[in-house]
Amino acid sequence: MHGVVPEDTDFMIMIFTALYCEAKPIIRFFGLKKDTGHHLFQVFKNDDIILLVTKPGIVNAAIGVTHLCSAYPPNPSDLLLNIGICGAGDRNIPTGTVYLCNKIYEMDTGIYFYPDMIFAHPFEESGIVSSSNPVSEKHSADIPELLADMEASGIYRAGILFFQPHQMFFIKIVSDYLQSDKIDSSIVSELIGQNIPEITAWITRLHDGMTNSSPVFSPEEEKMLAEVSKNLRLTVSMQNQLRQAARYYKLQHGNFSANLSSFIKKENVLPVKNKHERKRAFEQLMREFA
Amino acid sequence: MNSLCVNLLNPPFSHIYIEKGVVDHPNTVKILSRFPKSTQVIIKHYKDIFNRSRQNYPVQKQSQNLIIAEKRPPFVYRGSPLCQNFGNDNFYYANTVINCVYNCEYCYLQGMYPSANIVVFVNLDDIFGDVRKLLKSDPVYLCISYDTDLLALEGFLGFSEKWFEFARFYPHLTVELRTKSANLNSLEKLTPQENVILAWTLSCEYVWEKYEHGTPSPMQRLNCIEKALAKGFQIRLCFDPVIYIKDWEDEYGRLIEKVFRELPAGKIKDVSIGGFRIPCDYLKDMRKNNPNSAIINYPFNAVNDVYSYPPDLSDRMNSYMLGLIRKYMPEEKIFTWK
Ligand code: SF4
Repeated sequence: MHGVVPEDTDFMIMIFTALYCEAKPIIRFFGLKKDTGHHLFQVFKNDDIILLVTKPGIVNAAIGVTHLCSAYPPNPSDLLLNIGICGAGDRNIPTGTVYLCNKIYEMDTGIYFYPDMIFAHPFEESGIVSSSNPVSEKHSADIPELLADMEASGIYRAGILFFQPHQMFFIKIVSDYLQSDKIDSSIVSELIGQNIPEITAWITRLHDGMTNSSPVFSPEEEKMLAEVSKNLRLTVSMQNQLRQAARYYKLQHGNFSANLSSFIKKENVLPVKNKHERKRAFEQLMREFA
Repeated sequence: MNSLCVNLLNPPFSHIYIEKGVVDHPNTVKILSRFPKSTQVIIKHYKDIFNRSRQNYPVQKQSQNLIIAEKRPPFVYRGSPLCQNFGNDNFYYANTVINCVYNCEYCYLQGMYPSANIVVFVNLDDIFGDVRKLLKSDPVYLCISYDTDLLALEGFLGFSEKWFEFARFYPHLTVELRTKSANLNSLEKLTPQENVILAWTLSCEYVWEKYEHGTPSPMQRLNCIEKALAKGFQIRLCFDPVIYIKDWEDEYGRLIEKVFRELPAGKIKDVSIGGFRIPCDYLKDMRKNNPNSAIINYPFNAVNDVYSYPPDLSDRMNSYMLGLIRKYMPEEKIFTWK
């Protein structure tokens, strides 16, 4: 994003994949269009979803997330979804099994990250090891979790700067038994593609169920408060006290416009000429909310 | 984002995080046996999950998970000056559990802790050990249910019972267990003791209905207290916090009348009265988390980093409550927090 101000920052789901072949079935499923404004990463989007291909590795993943979230700062009801393939340390797990990660162990640093597990989901659950270098099958006994990838911890590290832990989801599809060098990109696309309907149905339902709490003051009320504060030349501390009293009054009684109007109409209050008059007027104003 | 569609959520305790070091602790084993369907996640230290940055307390509250951990020293803390000590000098509190299954809008825990998940410390014996040490020099007054509601968790935890058993051997120890629960089954398993006080917080109907989400109604609490009195438990009534609401005099007037109609005043150990008060830092976080809550958005007065009602209102509320309660209880048994 070379200084381009995004027109529409109202994305709801931010998806990150490491590889284009992981992204391909998602792009196709949602009919995402390439966003040519980004030169460092491949980015695809529609009105609701934006997807970035980070390239493999923990550091690349973190940079990719930071890049996109800096360009489009998420709001409290947006979600981050990391989808990708992973290796499994247990050959009894069929390839194509979908996991939601409840714990991410960063092999390079020994640090654990925990996404919140608040939402019901139809997938298997496991911890995952993220490592900068691929973990090979002969070292599978050394990894403390069932699954292994090369991005999840980087996504978490960067994601937590913009999201809360309940907004981030790490979905991994088993593609191999820690021989990732042998996987063909078409197989990766197929593994992701066959699970995309279920994953997207779930994440969309989640997103639809989230509601943003609306601000306490309406734009008109904000305007009235600003006007009174200006006319009375209130100090910052007085403005804070006024806002707190107005907020409480509104939450208790539903409306405070009448109180402010009646105050403004009182002829003996305005204009305030000195500190003394301001203090007196402010006390009078606060009594309106008592 | 503060509210979520209920059917999207995992049930409470769907996930239990267990510190590696206490996986085999008998209390852990017992707790886990009560939640066979929960997903168990092994962790190194409870703070790795409890103290994560940017957690959303109200969201987590809607689907609380459990963290089983080992309490490290200090095991026992000096009582806060914001809490009533009922005339006891050596006032301490101990946390065997952090956070609560109830969801009172005014609860300070939302401002005190970064997470709404419930932490259970299974190594009660270490805490008992520390209390024993304190008792060697002086009598001890110990509150064990401040940062939680221990009796509400008794069904799967059994910690109240363990405290009762412990206190039996130490006559110089006085234990206060504060609760809003109406857990009759748990009471059945406890044996009344002189030095263990069950302290019930009582609120008027309006406060209960509007702000004490998930708690038993005042009537249910009263029924439970009545049974507890009949069994011979030491009972304290806490009208604390008294909350300023519209028609507060009528509301609290009705409450006091109902309380002393239902309960034999002569059997009650003592009563406390206290207006809502909270450290400024906690309230700031609570307001951020819950901007639409009227009760925590009251324009409180800040004195010494503590928010409370303006002095004239505080005085009016205290003397009103005192006046009502004095009709039923001798003044020396009424403790007012000022
Ligand atoms: S019962 Fe007590 S500890 Fe529990 S939420 Fe209510 S005020 Fe907080």
